Amino acid sequence: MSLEAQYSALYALFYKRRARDAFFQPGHAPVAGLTDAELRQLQLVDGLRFDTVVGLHQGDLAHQWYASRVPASWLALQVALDTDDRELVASFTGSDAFELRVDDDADGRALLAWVDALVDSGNLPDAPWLPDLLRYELLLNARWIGAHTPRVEEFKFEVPGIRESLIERRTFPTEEDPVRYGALFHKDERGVGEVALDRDEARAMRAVLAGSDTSGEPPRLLKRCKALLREMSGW
Amino acid sequence: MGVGLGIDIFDTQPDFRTLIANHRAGFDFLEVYSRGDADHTDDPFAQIPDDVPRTYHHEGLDPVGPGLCPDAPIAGCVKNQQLLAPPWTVEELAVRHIDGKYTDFFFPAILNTECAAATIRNLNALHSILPAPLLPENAPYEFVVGDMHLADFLTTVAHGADCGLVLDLGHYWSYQLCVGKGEQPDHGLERLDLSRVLEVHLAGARLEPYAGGQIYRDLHGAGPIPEASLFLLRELLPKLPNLKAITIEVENATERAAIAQAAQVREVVRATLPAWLEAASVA
Repeated sequence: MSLEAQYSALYALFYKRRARDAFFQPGHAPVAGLTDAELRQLQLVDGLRFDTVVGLHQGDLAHQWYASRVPASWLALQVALDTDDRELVASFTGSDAFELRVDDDADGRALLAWVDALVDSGNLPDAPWLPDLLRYELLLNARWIGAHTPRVEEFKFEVPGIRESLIERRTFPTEEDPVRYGALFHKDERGVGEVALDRDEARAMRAVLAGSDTSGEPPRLLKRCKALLREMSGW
Repeated sequence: MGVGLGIDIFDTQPDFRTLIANHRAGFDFLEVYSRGDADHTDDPFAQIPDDVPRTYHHEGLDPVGPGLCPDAPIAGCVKNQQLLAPPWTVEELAVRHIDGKYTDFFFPAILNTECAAATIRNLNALHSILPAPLLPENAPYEFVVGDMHLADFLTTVAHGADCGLVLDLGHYWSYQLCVGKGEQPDHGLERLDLSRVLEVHLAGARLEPYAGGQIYRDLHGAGPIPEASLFLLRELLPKLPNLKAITIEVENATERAAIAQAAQVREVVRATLPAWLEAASVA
């Protein structure tokens, strides 16, 4: 049990800034369960070195886990919160949301939970579109939550345009009005394919994919859905 | 086995297929790394011809953790061993999960008697399950926790679990940089039971300077092999009676750069102990 406590303490020191800042004050134990001898061993860690290593890994984590998978969302977070990679990672890893990750947050659920929490707490007033943008980029570049493909996804904002603005023009969209965007997404070994759907098409496509009753849908819509699905399977 | 290349089967650079097809004379064996994945290894493993000797580098068994890892990574290791049939498997003396949470790097062993005892228990349990021997490797250190010398820890583990060791020379130096002995890469090696070392690793790295010293950062094929690692190779070669394999980990290198690093190391061996190359080749 005690070795477990030692690793837990290390984890807290590494990922939780409050624990780290407090620990390097005299006499503070980061987690319960350490013997005096174990605490002394932890206290032998060179604080300056440890801080430097943590900073290096914050940079690694920013780049390898997020900037490469969700570049527009990551950039938008930096601009919206007026911060840099390391500070962003420090805030995120210190949050409860970070603990939701699976593997290297391969499906982005931890980051999404954090962004949702930021919006809910009023910390992203200039970027109400950020959760949608992140969900969109996760569809393009991350492991999908739930394996079913193809699937219909809808967003309150026109996320492809926001993404392009951030990545291509390095422009942070302000005062963006909600403009619905929906699309059919298909994933296979070649990557992710995407076809925009209007509201009626999205409704009909959902029904087709779910195998629901489509007798109320206009035939032209059903024809288009089937054509799109054929096209996607061979895209 | 001789001088080999450590490759990641999921990398497109270097592509192990290209290394085998176009550069076969440049290495004696491959050390195959799968990132701990066992779900997508059948196809790439099948592309390694039978006449290419191989060892296997697993990940995810977390042998220095408080308890034995879950069944899934062990089953994955068993599967990959059965597919590859390596003479042994390498696993870092580190944890990739703490309290069930994946970490962004290998947290190396806490260097104390409690961790050594847990590691021995874990390795003995793993040895009873796995079809091929598991050789623990000293992990990279960027900071050190614990009051035990790394060489003492490795010797204790090797004796307690009655196993061989993989000594990563860059990782050994990384420890020295943490404890203020960076200028003496071989400091403390007399405390290591060198007869247990069956394989050594070398790899590219870079040093991160900070106000208190330097931090070793593993780059594998994306950087030059530090002179300290080559110094350790020269110093240790004549003292490793059971050394079978020298692996240069070359993930992210171009095929040409990977072969060049193998040639660089082979030249050091030839200049230091040419008989070893001949013996390894015969074996």
